[in-house]
Amino acid sequence: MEPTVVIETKKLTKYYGKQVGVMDLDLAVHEGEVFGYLGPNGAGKSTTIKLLLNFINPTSGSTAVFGKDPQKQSTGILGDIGYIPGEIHMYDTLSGRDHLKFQASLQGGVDWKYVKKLAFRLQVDLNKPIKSLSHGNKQKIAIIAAFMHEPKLLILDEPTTGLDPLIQREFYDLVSEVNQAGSTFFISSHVLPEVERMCHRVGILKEGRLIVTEEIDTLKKRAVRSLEIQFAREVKTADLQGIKGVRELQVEGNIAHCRVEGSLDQLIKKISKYEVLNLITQEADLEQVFLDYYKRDKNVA
Amino acid sequence: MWPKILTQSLKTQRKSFIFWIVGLVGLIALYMAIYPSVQESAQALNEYIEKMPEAFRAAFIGESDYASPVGYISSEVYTQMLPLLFLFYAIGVGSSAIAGEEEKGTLDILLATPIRRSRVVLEKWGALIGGLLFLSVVVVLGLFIGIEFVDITIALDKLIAVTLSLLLLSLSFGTLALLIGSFTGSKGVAIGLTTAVAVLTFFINALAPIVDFLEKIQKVSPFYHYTANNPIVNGLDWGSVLFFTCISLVFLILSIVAFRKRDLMI
Repeated sequence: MEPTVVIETKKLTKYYGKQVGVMDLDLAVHEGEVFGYLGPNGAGKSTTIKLLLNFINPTSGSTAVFGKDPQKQSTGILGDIGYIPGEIHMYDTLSGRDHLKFQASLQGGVDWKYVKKLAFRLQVDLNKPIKSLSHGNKQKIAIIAAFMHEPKLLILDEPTTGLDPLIQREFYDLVSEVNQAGSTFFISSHVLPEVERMCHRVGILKEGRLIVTEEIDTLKKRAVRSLEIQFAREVKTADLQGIKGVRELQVEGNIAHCRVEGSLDQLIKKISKYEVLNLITQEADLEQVFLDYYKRDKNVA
Repeated sequence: MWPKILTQSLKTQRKSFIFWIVGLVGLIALYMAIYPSVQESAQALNEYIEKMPEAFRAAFIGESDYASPVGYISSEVYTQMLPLLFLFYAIGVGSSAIAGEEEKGTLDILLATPIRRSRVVLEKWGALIGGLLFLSVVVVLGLFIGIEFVDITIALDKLIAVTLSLLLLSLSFGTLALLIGSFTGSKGVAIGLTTAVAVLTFFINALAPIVDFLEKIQKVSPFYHYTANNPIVNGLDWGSVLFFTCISLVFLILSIVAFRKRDLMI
């Protein structure tokens, strides 16, 4: 059975005057998925999100969230969405509790025990007035506000900004749990390790255009990792040349450095003829994949 | 459904309402305190005003009668102090309602929920009425008690009538500020334009008695309708009540239309 599509855009385009916000966007996010939306600042991530939430109108193209058009049925959609804005602004004079109570009332009520549980997990004091909170603590209130009504879809614009690493990890766990329980996530980010950690699939955005959509695992397979091989004896460059996926090979005495795209199989088989003392590898870095996509795109253009 | 945005908007003004009470009551007390000395020299004051150039008198003094107690309240309190304060409040609240929240970036808190944009505008407008009602009650009570101390007699229903006229005047300008804010998303533009319209229409009304072509358009000025029928003496003029109600509703409907489909800067 085909998975249900939660977010779908076709040729979605938004111009701000003559400036492109997003261009010919074809997105499909499926139910139960954690979708990462990647791109540098200004690539159109927030524009896409504002189109999904009906804060702005598209220039052309179509959008469907839960199968409904946000322009025509936004109120029918928004009750099932939790949203963290890219820039958090709140009613400063309210306490965290009063702010959340107000937001809860707009959503039509929430289970307050769940709010308390979230506040405890994220370690934020709900009694303090918002204006006295640090950036990170405001972010935590915004996270609670997005999760508290247990929405079916969470649209999070750079959700971990300002969080310290410990709370970030708690947040990743929270996303994973809520996702296990059935909620779909659309998370924009420019922080790659975070996307790698949370998301099943990513779309990479560049200057308003979606340049690729890929499973995280596929990306990882294509990811380039750096390798250092320490041999017992001196090896020649020629001995290690011509192996599939190996680039930037450098041999100095009995140490070889190279970068490998995808599987290490071919390389391992080749070097097994030699006595290998040590093999140091770094975890595949999506940053590299990301940059590669950008480079490739540039070469084409 | 409970109007949460309306109540929330009023709740956030709690502190400023305290200052409004203190300010309004203080000013009323001041006007009452100086009344006996004004009364003593009423004759001289009236003569002094008589001698002023007609244009100046029309523009800046209006119809004043310092000799009668009701005239004192009507000209000093209701044509000079209160319209200024009430318009200040109404234009401030009206321009903040949508444009202010949009500029502060808090509008998404209201809109990323199952609440319609039209309802946000309606509740914000309701909060404007609520705030003006509150200030009106403070004024009526303050004056009703205040005039007791200086032996001025004005019936409560006449005090209510003139204050209601003031409320309607302020509501019209507040709703205009709401409209301009909903349309442009800029609080500064909303305040500036509305104030300009207020000043313009004030002078249209004030100078009408001495400028022929202004006399023809005097009735478009809300300030004409504010004092029409002299409500502190004769009660409300229902035609003027209708005028205020109509322009407020038109501005409100246009606010909803402007806001409903606009690209928001949040």
